Amino acid sequence: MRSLKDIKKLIRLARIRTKPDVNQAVLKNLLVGLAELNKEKPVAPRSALRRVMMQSPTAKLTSVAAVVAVAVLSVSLWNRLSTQAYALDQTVEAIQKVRFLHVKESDEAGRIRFERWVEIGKDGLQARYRLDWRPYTLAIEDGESAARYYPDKKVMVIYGRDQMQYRWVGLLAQFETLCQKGKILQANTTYHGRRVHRIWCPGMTKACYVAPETKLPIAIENAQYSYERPPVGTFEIVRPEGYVVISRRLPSAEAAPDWLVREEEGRHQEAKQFLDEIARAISGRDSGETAETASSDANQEPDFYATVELSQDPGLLVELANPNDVLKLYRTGLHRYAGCLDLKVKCDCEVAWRLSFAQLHDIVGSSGSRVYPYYLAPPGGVVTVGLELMQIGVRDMPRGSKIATIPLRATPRRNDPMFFLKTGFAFYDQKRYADALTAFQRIETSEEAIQDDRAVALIWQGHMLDLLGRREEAIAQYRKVADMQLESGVRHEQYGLSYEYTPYARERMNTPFARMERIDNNGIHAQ
Amino acid sequence: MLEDRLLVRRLRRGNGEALCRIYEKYRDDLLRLAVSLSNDTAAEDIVHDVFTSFIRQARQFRLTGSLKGYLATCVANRARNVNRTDRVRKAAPLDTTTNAALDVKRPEQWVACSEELCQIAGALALLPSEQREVITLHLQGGMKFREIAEFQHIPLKTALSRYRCGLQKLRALLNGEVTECDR
Repeated sequence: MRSLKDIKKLIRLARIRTKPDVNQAVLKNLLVGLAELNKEKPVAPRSALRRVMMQSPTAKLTSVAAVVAVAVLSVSLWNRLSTQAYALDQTVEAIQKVRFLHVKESDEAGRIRFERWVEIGKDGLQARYRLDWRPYTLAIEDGESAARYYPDKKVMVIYGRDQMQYRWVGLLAQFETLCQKGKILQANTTYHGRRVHRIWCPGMTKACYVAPETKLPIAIENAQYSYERPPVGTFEIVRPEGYVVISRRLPSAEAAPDWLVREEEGRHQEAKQFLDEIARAISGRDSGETAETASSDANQEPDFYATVELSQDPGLLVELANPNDVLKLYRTGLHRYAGCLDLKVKCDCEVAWRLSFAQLHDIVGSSGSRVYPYYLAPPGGVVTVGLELMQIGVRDMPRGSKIATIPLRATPRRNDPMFFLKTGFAFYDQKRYADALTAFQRIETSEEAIQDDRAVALIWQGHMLDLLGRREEAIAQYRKVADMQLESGVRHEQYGLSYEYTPYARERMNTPFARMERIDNNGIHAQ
Repeated sequence: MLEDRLLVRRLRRGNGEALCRIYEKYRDDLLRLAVSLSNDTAAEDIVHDVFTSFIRQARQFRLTGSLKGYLATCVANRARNVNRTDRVRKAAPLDTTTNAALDVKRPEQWVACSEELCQIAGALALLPSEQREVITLHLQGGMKFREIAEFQHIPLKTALSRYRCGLQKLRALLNGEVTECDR
């Protein structure tokens, strides 16, 4: 056991070694930069370290030698392992080229229950979509409109693209993201008579089968995947014979029947209630109630348990697969939405472990003991907890033994600037600009906010003020950002927006912000 | 301290020798700090960027405290940005641990970490970033708690509390790791 004193000493005395030739190359580069500044030329020294090092002949030769060595090693390994020439990267690359996707899900009797067709645009996003959920519904999105068919009522309802989108990414996109952490379980095996590679990725509860010739998945869990061009008319919205058409695209459209109104309202109700709750809390209207709820939660016994059975090969990455493994954080209040999870693992044997977090089955969190709010999709969000077991001390356990019990508990973390940012975006998406403004203002008062957080907060305050028609106040916020003279920037991938703080703030001082729509798949209509 | 003031004054006039001295004097400490706050591959770029920005701003720069503390703060700020960018960038899977990153060596790598530093950096990566910052800035950056509290915009007591709490967690992590490896 190390004492605190030992650990402090270890941190103080831990050493690094630097390569003298690289040191010289870096210093030389800095001196060149200084000389250029002395000449009052506004040219800054290069900041790309790799380029700097390639200026050093010694480093260059070392690099070339290393590359040659790696190439020679790779060739010899290739010869030895020619039966396992497949690499997960090939699948990732192949998936990026996919333009059409056909997914079929069958029940135990082999009947097709879900059938999806997806066309992926050149930008990598879903362009057109068709979902056939027999016998309940059919939904088609043709890029401009979305239609939902109700076979029981013989009705088809048409929505504009801004009203309803049937975005679907599904396991294939997850696979693409997560493949780097996956494993090849078995190369060159068979699946329903086909030669395949059996692989596994975090976030998937079952294995995936990849076709050796195309490197594309042909089956993930219960779904069969193929990539052929769909039949003509797949994405066309047509009225079947005997169906009544209800258009919801225009406000002046015909009155909707009660059942449709109820369904549409219900779809938004949960999100609205949640956002109302947050709006009350962040504006301080019911802070007492929230605090009380939070403290009572902190004292609760862990209310979530999961167990891991040793039914996998030791050393394999094991994903918890029970339905209980999914922590649903929505409808649990502000503190939980914003909360971190303190995770404790109680193992009955000696295993090394670490946890990872997933949002809607996409692992986006890091190992550690916290879930940060920006891993959650607004409003609320779903977190899946994955457990990664490592091969220590499990070899003597009989197969099927329970090796770990995992109690999980959410605890409050209500002052995270990213929570307010995420919440602000949720309000913005719902066009609740005044509430969004309050959320962005709260970032500034957060103790944990750093300078970049404040810059983002001010810029989005400006955006909200622009949208509320308070242009003078908006300009004042943009000016504050410009005065900060930051050199960094930020990307809001959900809106396809990327900017550097200072030039962007100056631009917005001249041109008001115009609303941008969310382009990712986190919309509340996602299906 | 006096030497640092002289060096900064000379650097403001564009003196290359002053730059060499500052670089040689603080390079290793800053790299070590950057490794602890991020990982070794990002650390190289962080330190290089910090020196690049430092000489770019040298003419306007006025040293009011310790130069090492100032540079350490710059490294910490840059590391925060790098870590945040990494978190936000969904394309990169974020459950890659620092340990894993430390295992990846490039042929042209600037830094070779000692075994102890790898171990420490791996354990530090598991701490909340605010605790990690306090510990590394104090023990490796040589900053006083008062300075760290100013940097993190928190009261002094909070900084002390983060330091104590972080060290306790670190001790648990390191002892646990040693125990498991020994078995």
